Amino acid sequence: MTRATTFFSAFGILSGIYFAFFNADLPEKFQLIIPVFAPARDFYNSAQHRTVHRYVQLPWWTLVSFGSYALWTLGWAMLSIRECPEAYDELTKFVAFKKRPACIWHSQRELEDLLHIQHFVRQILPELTFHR
Amino acid sequence: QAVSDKALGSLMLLVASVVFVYYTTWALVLPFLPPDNAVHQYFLPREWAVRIPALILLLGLSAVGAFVSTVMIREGRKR
Repeated sequence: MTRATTFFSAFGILSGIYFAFFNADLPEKFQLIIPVFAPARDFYNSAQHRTVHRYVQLPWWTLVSFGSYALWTLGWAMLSIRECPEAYDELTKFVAFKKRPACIWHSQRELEDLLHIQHFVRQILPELTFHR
Repeated sequence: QAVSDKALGSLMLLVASVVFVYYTTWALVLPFLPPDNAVHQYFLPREWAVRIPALILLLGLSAVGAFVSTVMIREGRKR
């Protein structure tokens, strides 16, 4: 079963149950015991039993709670995601390195080669050789 | 960047929690309380619990529709 099928079948079942209870004339005891169901009338105002003030709350409540859940998710993500400063530093160094002029004076290129060789000799070569 | 990410995120979190708690008590808890309870003075009359989300939904949908229509007009004019 696809996810769309499961979603729409669950939605259909829940709305069917909701509409079944919507028009049912339950005795007052059950209307309080059954979990809070779109109180179709205020229970303590007996005058309203005649005129059906259907403040249909549950669909609107699901909409409002979905909106607040979405906002909560956004806020939580903004709070908890790290800024990664080390990745930022590495990236800026990389960008600066790439931005250096393509054709440079011969001497500067030789200087860069010497620096690479120095880095190699100081840090990589001792790890390749095995004497301690 | 005037407001930091964390401040904005925590503000959104707070607003979302407050809205959810207030609306849940308003719509689902209050009808079960007797009318002489002192809690009722903090909430608007309950028909507004339906009207306010309906208004917001209407305004939101019309804003989305207006935006889509302006984009389409601009695209049509470009050609």
